[in-house]
Amino acid sequence: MRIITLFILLLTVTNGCGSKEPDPFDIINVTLHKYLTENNEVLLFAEGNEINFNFLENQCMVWDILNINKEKILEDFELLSENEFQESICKQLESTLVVDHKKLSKKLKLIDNNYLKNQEYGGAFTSYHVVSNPAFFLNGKYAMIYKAVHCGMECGDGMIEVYEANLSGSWRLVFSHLLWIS
Amino acid sequence: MQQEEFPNKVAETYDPASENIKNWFEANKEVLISRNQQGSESFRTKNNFLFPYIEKEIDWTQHKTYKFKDGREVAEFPVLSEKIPIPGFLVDSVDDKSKIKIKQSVLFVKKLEGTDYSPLLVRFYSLQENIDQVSYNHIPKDWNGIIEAFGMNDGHFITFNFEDGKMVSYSKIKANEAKSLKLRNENKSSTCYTYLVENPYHMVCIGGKCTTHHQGYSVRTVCITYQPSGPGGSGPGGDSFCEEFDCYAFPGTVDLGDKLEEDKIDMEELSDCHKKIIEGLIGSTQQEFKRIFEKFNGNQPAPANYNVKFQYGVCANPNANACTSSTLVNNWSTITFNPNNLGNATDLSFARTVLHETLHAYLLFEAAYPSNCDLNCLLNSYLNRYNTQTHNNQTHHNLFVETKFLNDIATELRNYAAGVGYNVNTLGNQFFKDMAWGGLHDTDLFKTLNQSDRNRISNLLLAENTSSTQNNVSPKGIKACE
Repeated sequence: MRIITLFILLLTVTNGCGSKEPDPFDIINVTLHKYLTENNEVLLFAEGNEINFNFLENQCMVWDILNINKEKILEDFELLSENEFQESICKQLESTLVVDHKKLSKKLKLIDNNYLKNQEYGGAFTSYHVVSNPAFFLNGKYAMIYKAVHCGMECGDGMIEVYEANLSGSWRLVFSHLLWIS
Repeated sequence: MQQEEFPNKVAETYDPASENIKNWFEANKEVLISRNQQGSESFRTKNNFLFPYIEKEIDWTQHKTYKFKDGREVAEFPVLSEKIPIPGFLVDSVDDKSKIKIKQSVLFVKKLEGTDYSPLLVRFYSLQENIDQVSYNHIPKDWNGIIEAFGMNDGHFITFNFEDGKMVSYSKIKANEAKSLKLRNENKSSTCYTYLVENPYHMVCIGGKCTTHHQGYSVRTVCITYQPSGPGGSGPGGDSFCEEFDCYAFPGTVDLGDKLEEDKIDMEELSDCHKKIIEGLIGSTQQEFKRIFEKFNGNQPAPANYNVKFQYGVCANPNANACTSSTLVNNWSTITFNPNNLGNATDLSFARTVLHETLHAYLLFEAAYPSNCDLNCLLNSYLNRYNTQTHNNQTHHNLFVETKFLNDIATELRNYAAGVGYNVNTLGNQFFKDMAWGGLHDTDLFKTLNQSDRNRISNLLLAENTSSTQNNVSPKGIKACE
């Protein structure tokens, strides 16, 4: 009985210390928070129930972006090694995330190309969001995500965001960088 | 004598790169201008020949950047001074020394390792009017003149002689005959002669009153190049020179990235047809966009002028006609046109896309180089309104439609249409106003329009973008580049 009590206590303490694996869906919910609070429904692109993202022409330039802006962002930046960071983050961002509907905001509606084709004007003016699988670094203290809004022929933007984990387990935006605008 | 100033001098706002170089220069200035002897007269030291020392002022508000072939980054700033020494042989060659045009620059060559620079003071002399087009990395094809390079203490390094944009000879004064010249590859395609000469006399004038400086004799080495360098040449006999531990590329031989016209709007990758539309558009603009295109088309370094490149490619949003890169790499913004989505667009639709994306590029530059509160305060107020520190679709597009820019797009598109022969009165102002909404249907203002207006605009935009009839709305423009 004492051993079981000790085990339960240990489990509680380790969870309380934040050793829980960071959840990618928390980052997706927080990065779309503004849209989720302003709208009853937000469209998120996820072909085949999967979140997939690839940098154009394999140009994953996350290290350069952080390096150029390091004065604006994390003090912990100095702890990162370029090669390891670049490789690890790019792989994470470009990896597939199978959507767990229970963990995503209920306001998020997942859509695919078929959905867009069936919209008015073939979806030419439909506004929807695209995200990458979030990448975690420095033992889950930080998360990076690519997010974009696509809204037609000359409408949309794409950016990289970095979030920092608070002790309470919530995430705070510490850096964002616009990659493209249209 | 007339010193040409860099035109369009702007207010003293330094970009971060200039600030870093300025701080480095201020910290090292005393050492750099040290002459190991009191006084400002010309004299000879053990290793060098010092010309009269001149007080100089570097204009930190503007510079151009390029790279030497070995990869070192160079920032070239204009230099102003009350007086400038003129080589005696140049004075002797003209009947009126006021015909001599002079320009000064200072190059800060970033060392490959560490945070230090190798500075180089450069003076350009010519009898031609186009001296403002000359810089260390760009010698115009028809340029004749002299370029002299010095240390910051006015110690003479080397003199280059250019004819028709090509270097025909270079020479160096050495105080010590036994000390060998450090000219790289000098025997490769040039012949050098060393002889004793009377020290070069220089004339320094202030307000028409001139003083001649000369003293003693020195050893001078002159090299004649067989394969003249410069834009039309195949490379110089030697390609760089060294002083102490610092080496510098010869003028006109630095890496230009395969394009001499780096100061223009870059459309090299576009088809002739799309180039023609953009050129027609630029030529027809009369108001706000005329000023914006001039800003992109000028030949001064940012922030006096901005740089934009048009290219084909795919945007991160595959359904977009075009997108603008947000990161200004070396002060260049890139606008990418997606041929898959623009392939059927009319000329008017393509022109509208160009105006729309150019405005994005302009606002991104204005954010990077705040020039006046009018626009920057407006940009900041939109960032605040949408609770973001990052420029994005919402901030830019809502600013487009809620300020004069929506009307500017309509007006300039009308000007373009009139210029290429459309009967703009028949098309009517409503057509151009509707076209200006392209890409802006996600704005707060568009959502307040009634359904009938929104449908009319959407049908028109799609009709022009695809050159096909949409819900009984047919395109008015002609399919571009068929």
